[in-house]
Amino acid sequence: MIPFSLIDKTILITGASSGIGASCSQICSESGANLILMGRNQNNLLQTLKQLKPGNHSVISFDLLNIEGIEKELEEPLSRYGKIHGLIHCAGIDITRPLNALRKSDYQVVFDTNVISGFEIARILSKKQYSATNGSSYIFISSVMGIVGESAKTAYSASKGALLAGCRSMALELAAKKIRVNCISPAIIQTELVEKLFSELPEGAVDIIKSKHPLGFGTPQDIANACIFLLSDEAKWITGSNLVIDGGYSCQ
Amino acid sequence: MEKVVFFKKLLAELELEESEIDESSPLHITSLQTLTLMSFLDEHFGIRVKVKDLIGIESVRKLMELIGKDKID
Ligand SMILES: NC(=O)c1ccc[n+]([C@@H]2O[C@H](COP(=O)([O-])OP(=O)(O)OC[C@H]3O[C@@H](n4cnc5c(N)ncnc54)[C@H](OP(=O)(O)O)[C@@H]3O)[C@@H](O)[C@H]2O)c1
Repeated sequence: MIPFSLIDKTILITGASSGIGASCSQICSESGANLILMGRNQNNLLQTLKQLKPGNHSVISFDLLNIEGIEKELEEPLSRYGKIHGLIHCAGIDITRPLNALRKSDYQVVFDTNVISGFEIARILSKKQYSATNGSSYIFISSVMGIVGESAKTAYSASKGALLAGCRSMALELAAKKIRVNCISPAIIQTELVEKLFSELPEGAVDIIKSKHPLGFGTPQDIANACIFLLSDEAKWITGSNLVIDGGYSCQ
Repeated sequence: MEKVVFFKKLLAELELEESEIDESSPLHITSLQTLTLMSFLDEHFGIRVKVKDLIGIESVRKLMELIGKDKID
């Protein structure tokens, strides 16, 4: 038996156009899954698609801030696939802004993207017509910022903490449908975006951040590997949990 | 924006210790104040800067030069 096989499973991945989501897509396809890739940037989505192992994959370019439109957008593709066995809600944005500079619109956009759109997709996928009778697995990509604090991260941490809290209640509610719900909380993962952010920081700042990660920074694959485990049948008794993958960041 | 208004807003947003500031005032800010300043510049002047761009801005005058003389009268 191949460990963590996703053969015959259909997985929907938000944020598939970049960084961690793109890597999750690649590794899920290598494990045999059929994928529905969601993101805004169509070119990047197609780029991710190109890197997948052949399968019954599709791409949906959609702005998750249009929350009211999600159900209609998903209707046709979901009914084409029939049953959906998993979700990775990886789409997310970060606002690093001190409290006195945060406005209502900042909280709104962070919560809509990071939390509410993901919960809405979970609501839709958990409907009888889409949920697989032999079980499904939903993963929300939270962050260590959901469990520890950092200056200027109030909006972002609140949204990631909301994912952790919501996930526990959702896990209880959906257990009867054999749907497992878990979070993954990474610390800094070296994606293109993070590299770009680092390049804008003053000299020395990156070393300080790195020193807070005993095992150094993570890679997108570190998160993707955990995702295929949680999506697979090997994790069939795991629900309502938060897998912290942070190279030791939060032990301190 | 009028100069006096700019000074007042900057003082308030950055919660500077001084009771008044003008062009000649020094500007020594913490990393958190740097982030506040970035939002301030975006919100009031539509200027998006990076942390790096604010290194060396050690006086109100230098900040005003960064914003552009035409934007503060
Ligand atoms: N990288 C890290 O260090 C780190 C650490 C902890 C947690 N995380 C979390 O991991 C997740 C992925 O992070 P990443 O580093 O891979 O970030 P990323 O490269 O910036 O990717 C973010 C993804 O979210 C999508 N997205 C953002 N807003 C959207 C919207 N309104 N509608 C649809 N899609 C939207 C983006 O799509 P488009 O590009 O197509 O617009 C992109 O695919 C996020 O939830 C983040 O908070 C990251």
